[in-house]
Formats: sequence, structure tokens, C-alpha cells
Amino acid sequence: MKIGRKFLVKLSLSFIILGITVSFLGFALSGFDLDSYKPNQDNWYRIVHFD
Amino acid sequence: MSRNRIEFIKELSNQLSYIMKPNEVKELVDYYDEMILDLMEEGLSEEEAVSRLDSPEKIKESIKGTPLEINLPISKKFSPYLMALLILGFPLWGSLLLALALIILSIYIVIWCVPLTTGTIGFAGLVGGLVGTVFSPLALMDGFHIGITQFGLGLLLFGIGMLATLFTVSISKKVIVKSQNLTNHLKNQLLFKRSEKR
Amino acid sequence: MDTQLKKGLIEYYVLANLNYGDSYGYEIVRTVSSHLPITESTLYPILKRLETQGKVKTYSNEHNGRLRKYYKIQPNGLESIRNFLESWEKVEAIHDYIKRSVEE
Repeated sequence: MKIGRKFLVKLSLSFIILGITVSFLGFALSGFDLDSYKPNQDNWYRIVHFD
Repeated sequence: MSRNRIEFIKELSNQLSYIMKPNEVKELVDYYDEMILDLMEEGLSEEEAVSRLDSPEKIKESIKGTPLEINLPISKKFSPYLMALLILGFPLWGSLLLALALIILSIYIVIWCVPLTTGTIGFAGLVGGLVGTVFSPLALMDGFHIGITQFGLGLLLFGIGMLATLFTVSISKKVIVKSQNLTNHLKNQLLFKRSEKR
Repeated sequence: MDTQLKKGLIEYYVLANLNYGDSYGYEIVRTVSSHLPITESTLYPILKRLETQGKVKTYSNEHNGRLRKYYKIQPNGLESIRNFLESWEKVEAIHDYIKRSVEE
């Protein structure tokens, strides 16, 4: 099957819509709190800690 | 194929107009017209007279091979005063020439700006989106919501990148045609002026 | 006859023809073609060249209600004929040389 230009446009548009939806979900999971995106120094993989 | 006199002359001037200056064409056409009329005076019919002469195509071919005008070398030499003037005037015409060249360059840049921008967005979107999406599981370590958000943003970015790339591909063709046209136009303008001066 | 030689001769033939009296295109073709094969198309560049070199001059004269272009020889052209005749001795010497090469 040949991939047409229209298909690619549709695919990219669906990627965009899906992306917006998923990131909205992620933002919703954070409780719409931008502060929760700040780097967390207390994570287990953090070797260096700043006080 | 027998032509009459008018047809012959029309055809001849048509053929020659591509390779000679108008005044040269006129002179040559007059010459052949006179020949036809003289042949007719000798008692030949119009068609016979025309067919006695070479065909316009053949005349054109024979003219191509022989330079009719001998250019005198005097006109090609610059006088020393003119040379001195040109050299002294370099700061003036040099900078004007530079400005012209830069203007032309900037036109090209402006034309290519659009596909360049969309191309860059496309590339950045595709690569960034892919990396962001693929590595979003790692971001889960920072918190579930961060991982999901990164995954979503990655997809969004990838989608934008793809769209921009498609747009770039389609616009590039048009831009290539545009800049070819511009180049041809400039070339014609410059060369025509030069060939007219000769 | 060799075409190169012919080309060279036609020019002087035309000049000589004009030295007999002013003439016009068709008449020149007719006169020249009695000795050398020539067409209208081959004559034109020759006349044009002679004119640019200042060996002939042109003027128009009315003939049967139309203008005819006449060619008139100039001193320059006459000089050219004289030079040609003078160089004939050299041509003869060359001719002899070529002839001997065949005879031996």
C-alpha cells in the first residue's frame, strides 16, 4: 500500500490530538499543579543532593 | 514548395530575426527582395524567381557560419582615462555593486526562510518528539503524572514535526521553482543588456 | 576548382567587375557566375565584407519605381586588386613548385 500525503497529514493531526489529550491527562493527574513538575531532589536515583 | 515573394520575405525575416540585429536583417531582406525583382524583370515568374534563390532556412544556415560584421578592435579597448576613472570610482560603484548583490542574496534568503523555518521545526519536532515519547517511561520515576505528560507532549511534538516536514516538502518544490524563475529573470536581464551593448 | 581558392578569387573578381563600372547584386551574380560558380547567398557576405572594409561603397538609385542598391569601387578596393596582381608572381612560383613535384 502506498502511503499518501493525505494519510500522513491525518496521521500527524491524530498524533497532535492524541498528544494534547494525553498531556492533558498527565496534567490532570498532577492535580493541575505546575509546582509538581519542579525537579524533585529526593528521588531515589538522585546521587547528589543540594540543601 | 513554391512561395511567392511576400511569403519568402516574411519567412526570411522571421528566420533571421533570431540571429541578427534588426538593421542587418533589413539589409539582407532588401538584398534578396532586389534579387527577386531583378529576376522577375528578366522574365521569370514570381514563383520561379523565388525558387531560384536558396530557401530562407538555407540562407539562415549559411549566415550562421559567416560573421558579417567585422568588429573593429578600437571599440573594445578601454581608454586609460576611463580605466583610471573606473579604478578611482571603485569605492562608489564597488559599494553599489556590493549592495545590489546583497539585496539579491537577501531576496533568496527571504524566499528560503519559510521552508528553512518549517524544516527546522519539522526536524526538531520529529527528533524531540520521538526521544520524548520513547524516554517518557524514565520520567515515570519522577512521578506518574510527569511521565504521562511527557508522553503526551512527545506525541504532540512529533505530530507537529511531521506536519511541518510535510509542509516543508510541499513548499520546497514551489520555492525551488520560484528561485529558478528569479535566477532566470536576473540572468536574462543582465545578459540581454550585455548582448545589446556587445 | 578548390573551394578555398574559389572563395579568394571571387572577392577579386567582384572588385574587378566593379572597376569596369558600378553594378548591382543581380548583375554581379550573373557576371561572376560566367566564370566562377556563385549563388546569391554566397555573394552577400562577400559584398558585405568588402563594404565594411571600405573597399566598396553603396548607393541607391531608382529603377522601375523601386530602389536598387548599387556598388561602387573605392580607392581601397583598387589597391586591393593591385596587391592581388602583384602577388601573382609569387602564386606562379608556387604553381611551378607544385607542378615540378608532380612531374619528377
